[in-house]
Amino acid sequence: MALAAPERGTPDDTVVALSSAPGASARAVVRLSGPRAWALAGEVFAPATARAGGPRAGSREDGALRLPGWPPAPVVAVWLRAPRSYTGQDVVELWVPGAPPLVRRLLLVLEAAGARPAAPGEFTRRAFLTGRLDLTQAEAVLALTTAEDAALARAALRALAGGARGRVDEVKAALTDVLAHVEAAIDFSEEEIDHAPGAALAARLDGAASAVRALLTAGRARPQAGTEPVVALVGPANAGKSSLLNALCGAPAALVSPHAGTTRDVVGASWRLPSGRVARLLDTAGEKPATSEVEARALDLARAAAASADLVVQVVDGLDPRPPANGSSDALVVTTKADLAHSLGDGLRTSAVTGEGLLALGKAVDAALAGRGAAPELTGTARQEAHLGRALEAVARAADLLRGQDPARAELAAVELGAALEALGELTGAVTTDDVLDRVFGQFCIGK
Amino acid sequence: MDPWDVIVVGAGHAGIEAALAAARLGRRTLLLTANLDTVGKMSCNPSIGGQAKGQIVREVDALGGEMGRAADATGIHFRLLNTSKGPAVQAPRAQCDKPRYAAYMKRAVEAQPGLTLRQEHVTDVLVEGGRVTGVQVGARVYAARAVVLTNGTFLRGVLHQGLEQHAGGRMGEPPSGLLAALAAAGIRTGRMKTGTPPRVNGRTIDPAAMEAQPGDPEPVLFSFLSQGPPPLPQVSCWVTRTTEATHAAIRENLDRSPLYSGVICGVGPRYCPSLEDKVVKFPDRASHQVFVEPEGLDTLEVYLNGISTSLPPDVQARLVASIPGLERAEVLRWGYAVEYDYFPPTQLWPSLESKAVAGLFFAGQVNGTTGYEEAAGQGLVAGVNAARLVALQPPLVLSRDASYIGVLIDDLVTRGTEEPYRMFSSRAEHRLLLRHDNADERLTPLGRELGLVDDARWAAFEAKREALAAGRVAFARRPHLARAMRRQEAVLEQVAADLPDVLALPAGVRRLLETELRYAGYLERQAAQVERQRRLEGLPLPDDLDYRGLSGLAVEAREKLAAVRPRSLGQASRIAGVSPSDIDVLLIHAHRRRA
Repeated sequence: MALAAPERGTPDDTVVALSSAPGASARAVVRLSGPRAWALAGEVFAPATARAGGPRAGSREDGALRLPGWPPAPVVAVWLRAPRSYTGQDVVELWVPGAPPLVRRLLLVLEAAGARPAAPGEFTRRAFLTGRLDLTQAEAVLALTTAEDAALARAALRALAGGARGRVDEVKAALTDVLAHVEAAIDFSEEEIDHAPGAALAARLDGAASAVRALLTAGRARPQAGTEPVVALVGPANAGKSSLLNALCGAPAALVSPHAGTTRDVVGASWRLPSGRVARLLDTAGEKPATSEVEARALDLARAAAASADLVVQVVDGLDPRPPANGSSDALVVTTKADLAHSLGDGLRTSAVTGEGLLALGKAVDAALAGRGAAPELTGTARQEAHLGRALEAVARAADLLRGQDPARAELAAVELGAALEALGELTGAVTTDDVLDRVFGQFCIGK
Repeated sequence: MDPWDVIVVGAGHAGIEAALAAARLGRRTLLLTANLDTVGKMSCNPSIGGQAKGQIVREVDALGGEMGRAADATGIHFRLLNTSKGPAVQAPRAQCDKPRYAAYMKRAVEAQPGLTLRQEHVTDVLVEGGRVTGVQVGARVYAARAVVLTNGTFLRGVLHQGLEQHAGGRMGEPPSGLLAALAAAGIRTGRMKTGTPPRVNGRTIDPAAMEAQPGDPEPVLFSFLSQGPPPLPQVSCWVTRTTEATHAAIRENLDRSPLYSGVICGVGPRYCPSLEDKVVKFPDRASHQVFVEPEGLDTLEVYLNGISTSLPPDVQARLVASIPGLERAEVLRWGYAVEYDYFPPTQLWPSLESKAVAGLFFAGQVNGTTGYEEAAGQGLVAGVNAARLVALQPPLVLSRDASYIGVLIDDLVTRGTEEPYRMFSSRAEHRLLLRHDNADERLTPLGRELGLVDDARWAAFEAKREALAAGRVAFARRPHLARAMRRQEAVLEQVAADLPDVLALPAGVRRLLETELRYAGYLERQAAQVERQRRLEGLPLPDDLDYRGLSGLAVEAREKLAAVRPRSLGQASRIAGVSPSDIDVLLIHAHRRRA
């Protein structure tokens, strides 16, 4: 996600967009941002009670929307002045009745008056350009608006609140501190400063490296927006996998028949879990001796799907509860056909007919998926991962150097620490040589 | 009378290099000093060089400057610092014979053709229509096309000793005014302070009670032209320490310290604090080092490095007597603090020319720096640029990746300074490339192009460059040997034992080659970093860009950018308070302007 350089336009023009969800609704929010936001809004907004000197910054005003050829419509205007707005620019929000034709007309009138339609993500980009959000926060906003389930949204909210920034800043502080020791030993070699031994500094770097690694893992563990966790149903032919899928997803996605081996292709559907998280549920060809080329290929596909899934649900036929042939140890085991009296078998009992056990299965899957990876605080974009990776390598090399015997270790460790700080600086802002010197003078009695 | 091409005001370490450079570039140059007997005076400690400063001296030398040769000719104690910490942070330092150093410099400016040295007390600068036209000496005028101001600590200087104070730029010398025209032109001033320690009579100290600190047996000299051992006899320095009694003397008399009674308001250097500061700020330290440094061969005066103080004389006598080896030492001069005006250097272009007054250059301590070496580096650049301005040539701007002088000036004009600015090697982001051993490779070709490097220096440089090239080729042809050199503590003579051509190279070239090969990976990385940075440096920003009218910039960044008026996006990115997002806004703007 390239926030650094907007593809078009600059913050010098004024943009407009519908900020609420498209379609009919009780209320729609049209947002203007840029130097002419107030002037443009003034062209379509008539306040209920005119105020001498115009609207007040930070105020909310009732009034009427005046569009050429349309009768007045009730509207609330929110007036914000730079830099105290989301984008850091002058902003006006117009809350209008959520009728799509009215909204379209309003946007057209504002565009005719000189506003440019905002590009996707442009309000957030402006917030970044004006320094209202740092890069990790801006990325978090974009992740939040595209979050498809509660877990993603919570992670994005944490990142937006600066959760990752705090942790990155802690790592930076630790690195700056070690660098100050290294630099003090170089620049003030004649002074009697209390040099921390190389091993002690290296140990501090190990701690910093673990913290970076944790951030990196958190970023990776988190599925990318738009790619839900994948849960695969596997089991013998005719065990009831397709019926289970249809029941869980609430739609007849998979063809069902009493004949074993009905499912050949991998069939997938969206499954909303009790947590609100959406998983991709896969139905695979049942395990049975292949009698044809097509069936053999279907089994290959099933195995591949199971192998790449985040979670495997081993389905046991309640009427024929044989232990799974080569079930994986961390698979969830469910037994089907619980509505039939003579159904037996281990694991969670479910019935696609009565719905028995389906909620419990959902909760079990939620719990299993939640265990995969701690709640992330960084929205794990490729950019962040690259910077964290660079920082981690440099910190590890610096630690090795400080432990080692190379005569130039102080000098080279300083290079590595500088590189690590630069990489982390790309995430949340730079550390300058002044910062390092401030620490040196704060900690050591220098002065020949 | 025709106007002078260049007038340099002040004949200290900055003024000397400025005047010599301007004259060597063929400009009719006048060097004015209030006192002909203090040309090139070392007002503070007797040493030249040291960490990062030693590199600057070698850079001044590589550009044809005088400081390195003067230090070599008058040095009485040489040491290469940090030999165990890596090649880029090694730095040469010398204790010089103070009177001889000043005499060497006075003779150098007297001997320079095209340079007139004269004792005059300059009272003001003449400015007409935003351009400098000369200097005022009482009722008389010296007209000039360019003026370089190097007034050191003399501007509204006030000396403090205890609670007593009097006007002066250096003990025993009057301060200068010189502010009227500059204030009228809108040039702001700030206030700083620095200090010196007491000096004692060497006859009255006891070397046996102190630890001797001899110089290196094989001194590394500053100038690339200096050969062989230093000409003067070498002496030892000593190290001793303060005691509990010293600290008690200070604590009991803090109310008589101008620093702690609020008399001094100028900002002092954190890296060179007074002994009062050390005792107050680091109460846990029971003792501090004192370096005992002879000031010359013809004098017994000894400098007590590390106990700079502005306490009254009776307290100074007590604290000197409390230090082992100095119990019976007679003080020759008392320590004092000096407060002085400086011109916040963000008011300068990277050429060191004033933004407010065309043709007026500032160099040295007036820009808020400390140190003879920092002054000399700026002086040389200001002198070159005054000369180039007169000849209508574009200014010389040294880059951060090619010299410490470039780092120094860029820091000053971009970030300014709140405390007296001293160079540290950690200020240079490409430190591995800015070594003392390759200063000539970095700068001498440029010096030659500018006209600062004479034929003799150029011939010596070319010989070295050829030897180095031969050595590089020898290893480039033998990658296995180049790889072997990357091992820790690889020694060139062992790895290249079978290569007589390499073994026959001069020793200095062999050490340089060894460093290049041993740290090849790191040097390549820094070179790549430099390339990345250069892309930003290559994006120019117009001087007249209206930052206040540029939306999208943070308020703080807008103010800072408008004040500094950076020349390139790279320079803008180093201004304190300008964030990466501000740079993005400028990037967009730069692209749009070009489109």
